[in-house]
Amino acid sequence: MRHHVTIGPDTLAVEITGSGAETEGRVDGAPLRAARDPDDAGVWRVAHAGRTVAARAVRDGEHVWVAVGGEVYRCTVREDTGTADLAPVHSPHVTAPMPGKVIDVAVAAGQEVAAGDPLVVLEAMKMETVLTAEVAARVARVHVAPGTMVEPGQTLVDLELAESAQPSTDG
Amino acid sequence: MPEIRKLLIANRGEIAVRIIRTCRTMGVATVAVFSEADAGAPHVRLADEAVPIGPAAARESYLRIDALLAAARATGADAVHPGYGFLAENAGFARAVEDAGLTFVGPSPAAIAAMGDKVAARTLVEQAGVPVVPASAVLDPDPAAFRAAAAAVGYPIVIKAAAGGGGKGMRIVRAPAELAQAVPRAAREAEAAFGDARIYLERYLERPRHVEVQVFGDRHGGLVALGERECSVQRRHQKIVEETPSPAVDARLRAAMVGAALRAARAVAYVGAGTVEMLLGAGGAFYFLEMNTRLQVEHPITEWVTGIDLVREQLLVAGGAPLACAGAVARGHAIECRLYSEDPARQFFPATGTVRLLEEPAGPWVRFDSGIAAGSVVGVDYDPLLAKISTWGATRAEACARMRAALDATVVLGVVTNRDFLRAVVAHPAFAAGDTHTEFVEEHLAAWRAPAGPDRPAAALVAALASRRAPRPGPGEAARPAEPWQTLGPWRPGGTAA
Repeated sequence: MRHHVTIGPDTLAVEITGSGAETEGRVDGAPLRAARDPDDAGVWRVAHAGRTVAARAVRDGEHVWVAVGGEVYRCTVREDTGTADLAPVHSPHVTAPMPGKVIDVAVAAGQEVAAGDPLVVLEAMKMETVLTAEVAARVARVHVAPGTMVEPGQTLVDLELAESAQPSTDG
Repeated sequence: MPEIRKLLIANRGEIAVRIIRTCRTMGVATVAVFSEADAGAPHVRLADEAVPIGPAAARESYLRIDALLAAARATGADAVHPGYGFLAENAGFARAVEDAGLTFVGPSPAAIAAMGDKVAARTLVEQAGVPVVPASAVLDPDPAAFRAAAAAVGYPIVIKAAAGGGGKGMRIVRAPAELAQAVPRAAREAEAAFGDARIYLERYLERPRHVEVQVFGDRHGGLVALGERECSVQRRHQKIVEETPSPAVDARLRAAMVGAALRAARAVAYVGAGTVEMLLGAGGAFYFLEMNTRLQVEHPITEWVTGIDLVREQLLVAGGAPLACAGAVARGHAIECRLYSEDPARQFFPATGTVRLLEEPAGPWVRFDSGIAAGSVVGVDYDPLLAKISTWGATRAEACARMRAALDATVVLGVVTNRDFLRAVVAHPAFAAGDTHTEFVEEHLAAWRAPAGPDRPAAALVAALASRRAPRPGPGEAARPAEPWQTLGPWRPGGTAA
């Protein structure tokens, strides 16, 4: 079974073969072996690159959180259905990260923006935060105006992403 | 003032927990208050009694003076500790507590009011012989008015809230053209944060250090300083790493800064724990910034080097005792890192979620002050501070080494935190060299991104394995132990409940 696991800005191709207590897998082509810890169901022992580490995983809504080697990884897992048409890593929808009020809209429909350009200024938790474009894009539609109260996940701006911003499907 | 027997803590989170812990050592009974969002919070579980005071929004609960006083009356509390934030620097609250016949653990309402108006406070301490940064009076929120005042003071300037503190509403402006945007924005933030849109400007010092002096006064005219803390490493103008002593302060400079801090405190006949914040320029010149008339977030590092429990001292002084901490000698070096639920890769934007797993650091000379536990919901209603990690060492290098190990051992799953960013700060060569200033983050870590980590492939594989299970509780999730507090019912650990 193949999965695409996104961690931060990167997406890794994960292939799992076998099931049960011992699992073999490949991540971006490199082989790993994983086994559930018999004493702690949330923990896997993973052998890779010549060593074995303990990884603890917790599912939480759309994410799987993994603590391993003193690091914390917030992972988004998508099953590869074989159609090779995965959702883009960079979403074309800019959404509100939390409830708040739109203070300023810096762009208009049709406008070209570069990575890092400000799109919307949001006030939340008594602080103003500028939401910026992750990648170069064209503004397709603006859904909010100054004064709009927004909920988390609400779409603020739709972008048309350049082709290069779409993820490659080979991981 | 009578000795305190039962204390209501008008706060939540780590500071409420920390205050309750000291009360335990003194035999003082504790009353927690909680909003609907905090019904299962650690401070509620830990207190001898707990009283609900309203909905999640702070203005409907933790900021409601009537509800807090009613809780004190209902439980027979004889004193109120405001913690920090919320009503801690609200003179009206201090007065209401005193008018209700209770002891307010803090300075007089007059002292709070005098230092709370930042513009009036500047004038007050300037008259007391404390150096201040050139600044304007409160101005109309009109870019033209700011343009004229800024020309007189000299660029760069910083726009600040008159009712301010905590960095909220602050805007740095380097050229007149930026004023048209910055002035209305600063006024809006001031209004949102303090309910008071008044703003003013002052000269902005480039790359200064933020150094503050801990002062302590009693009701008998006693007043001491307990050394300085350097809190230069900030993001969004809010501190994230603090240490004592400051690597930039030698004995001579310390004597001068302590002298200035004591003059500022004496000008308002200060009683209790307070902090005089100053900016220290590269040449050793320092300027009064503001006085915080409460216990400071970063007080644990002063406790580490002096051996004094500042909350215990606060309660004794509020009960009328003379200062017991005069003559304290600082020993060694202490560092604190603030663990926030926020995303350093996204302009430190606050993050929300549910803490699914919390592994706390431990070991010699490591202290972990937190108000969260597994299951805690981190929402939008309160400050995103999750915990404070502090370490002590005989030398700065030793304290740093312990801090690095403590950060490595701190694991939070379920909420994005700034832990890795804190690790990057403490590991940075400029930090190791003690070369810190308030623009440290922008200068050294602006391009910081979470490190990939050697075990990322292992994490990806385990994430894929974990996600294969159905959303209903699988064997792994079923095996996760229920929190004892969820199944325990109304029982609470004992203490000296009245």
